[in-house]
Amino acid sequence: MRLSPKNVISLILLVAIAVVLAISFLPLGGEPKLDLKIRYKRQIISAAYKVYGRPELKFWVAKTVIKNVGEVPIRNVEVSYSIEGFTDWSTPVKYDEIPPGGALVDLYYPMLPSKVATLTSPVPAKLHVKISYDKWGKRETIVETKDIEVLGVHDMVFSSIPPEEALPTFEDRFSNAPLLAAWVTPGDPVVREFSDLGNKLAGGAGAALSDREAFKTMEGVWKALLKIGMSYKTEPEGYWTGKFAEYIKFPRDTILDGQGTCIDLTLMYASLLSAQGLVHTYIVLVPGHAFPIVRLPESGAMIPVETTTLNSGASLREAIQTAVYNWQNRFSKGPYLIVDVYSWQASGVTPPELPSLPPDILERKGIKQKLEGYIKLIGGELKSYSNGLFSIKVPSSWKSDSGTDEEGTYQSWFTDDEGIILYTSWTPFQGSLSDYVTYIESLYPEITRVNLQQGQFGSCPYAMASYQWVNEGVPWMSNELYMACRGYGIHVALMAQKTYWDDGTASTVWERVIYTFYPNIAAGG
Amino acid sequence: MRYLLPLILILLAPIAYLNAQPIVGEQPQGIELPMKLEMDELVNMTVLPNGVVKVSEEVKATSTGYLLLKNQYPMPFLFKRFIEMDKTLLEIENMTVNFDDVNKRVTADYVALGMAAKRRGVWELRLEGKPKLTTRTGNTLVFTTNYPLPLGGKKNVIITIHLPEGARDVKVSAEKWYTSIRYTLPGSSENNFLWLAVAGVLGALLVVNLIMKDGLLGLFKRKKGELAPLPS
Repeated sequence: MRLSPKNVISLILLVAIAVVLAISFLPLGGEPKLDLKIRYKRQIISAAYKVYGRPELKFWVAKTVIKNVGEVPIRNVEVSYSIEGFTDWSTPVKYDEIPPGGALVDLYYPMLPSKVATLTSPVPAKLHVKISYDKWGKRETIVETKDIEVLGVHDMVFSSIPPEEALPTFEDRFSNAPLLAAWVTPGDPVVREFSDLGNKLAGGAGAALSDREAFKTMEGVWKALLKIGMSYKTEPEGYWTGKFAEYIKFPRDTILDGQGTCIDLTLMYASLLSAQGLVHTYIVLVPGHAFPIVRLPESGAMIPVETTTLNSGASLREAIQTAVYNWQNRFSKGPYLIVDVYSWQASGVTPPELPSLPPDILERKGIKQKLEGYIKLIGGELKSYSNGLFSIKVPSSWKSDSGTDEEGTYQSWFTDDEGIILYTSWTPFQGSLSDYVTYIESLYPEITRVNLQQGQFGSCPYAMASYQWVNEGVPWMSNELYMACRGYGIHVALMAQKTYWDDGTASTVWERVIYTFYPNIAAGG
Repeated sequence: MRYLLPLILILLAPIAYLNAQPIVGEQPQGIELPMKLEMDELVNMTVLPNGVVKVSEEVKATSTGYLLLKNQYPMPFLFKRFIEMDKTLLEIENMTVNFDDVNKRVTADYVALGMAAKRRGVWELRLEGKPKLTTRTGNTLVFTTNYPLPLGGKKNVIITIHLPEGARDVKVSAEKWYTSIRYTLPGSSENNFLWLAVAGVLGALLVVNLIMKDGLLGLFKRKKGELAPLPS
């Protein structure tokens, strides 16, 4: 067979076109070679599930690194992901090519469904990573599958860095520490209600207005926790090793259970204060322990609180003293991590949607009644009593009685339902202050003085004393103020069973009442 | 005078009360947290044509800041975490870190993979955060930004980026959580177009060859009628 010149030319042109297209599309230097590395989080922390969908927070679930280790470009690369049972395949991210020696890094930030926040225990899941690219004119697809766990909503892993990549630092052992901010829930109705009750105990302080008000709120909330018997429970063995997922209570659970680990108590106290506007709270993690710090609104003073002292019924001041001591003598030397709750929450580390609870849950648990009774006692409205000799404000629910004895001593009693007694007396007295104290003490020989401090202000000496005694087997205590001035002896005493002093009730009443005492010498004279 | 004592008593009661308390003063004392760390970071990036970026960083701090930094990252290899703090979009390789105690600075050199990738026909380099372009000279771009450090600290960063030679159509835009630098390079895609153009021309010639009766050769043949008559 003989080809015509025309056909020969056509054939030549066809071959030339094929060669040119081959040069254009086919990797003539060899086949594409890629080196694939997939890093991924072994556990998804459901409580903080929202963070994974926010690239700016950098909590990726998978990081795919594809290196081109061949001699030709890898073309039309697409990467997509899915978490079986939780997310569909993500929209493939497309890359035109990876030149030889180049690489691409692709991150997976899944929008997880809110149903993960309903998980009560870890669920095994599969993370799929699909990579496709051109190879000899066809699509080559690689699918890698990794076993992961979607944790229960209370579960926390302190680090997501795989052991083989973790550096031997405290920072790496607690790389997920910022996610603890998802456990701070000031918006939870249970937390808000309890916090409001605590604030009522403080006399309705406006926490964000001043340092003084802030401290009042801190104290009110603290007293509310003491009143419901909040206690510290030690962590199980291995808790801080970071090897296991740990159960962390949401503040509502801690309040309703009445107990928690140091981290539970820390998150709860931070939440309760945030609910009152003290939003600048910090969670401090030190080896084997956690405690909160509160930043006061005016001075910016950083106040640490050792929340585990709730167990021993310590006052807030004692809890602060303990925390300051621990910080100065142990923890400040490091290592430690401080989670700025406000900043992280503002960035998007926000709590999950918690299941709704009955609106009267605090009542059902008896917490509200306990606190309202307490508020009535020490935090309610004050009513002013005035008789011309003096005036004083006491809780409006208290009963009052008064009279003048045969020696001309005017006395008043104020009592509440729980047996706390406020006593005032006003008597003509010409002696010195110490004579007056001795005289009063001689009337009650069964009582023991614990301390006495004296001072002088202008021409009027004063004394403050504490006493204790036992009445029918029950220990009692009192705080008392004496003055001897201008021919009068004045005596104010607050008496209560020792338990009321131990839990801070009586001292709170004393503090509220003593500021309002107003002796009217002119009227009395 | 008759009002003096009531006044004194009013003032005295709280003072007397406070004196009797175990903690003197209404305001509890807080703790001193470590000073807010503030430092300057100079980052020099050289982008290679294949998207790989060679990075040199220099972190400078005050004497106290330097000590704090060294206390937190006592070994050079631990400093990797500090470098990675604001860089998730890349893969760091071959890092060397040097603590310069005399000049209170830390220097680090490394290779960053994945910072620049080719998407939709253009190269794109992503910088995390919202750095601001302050200077551009040819293919050298200078950005300034700052990143927060724990407890209110701050890292002031100047990033100098040298794009590959021949980079053109450089565009900088702020995206939601990163800053994008797009550019094009004369490269394989242009070569592709060139080859495709050649293939197109060859295809056209093929079509012409098939359509014409005598093929392309016919173009070079003279028709008989067109021959000039021989002189008689």
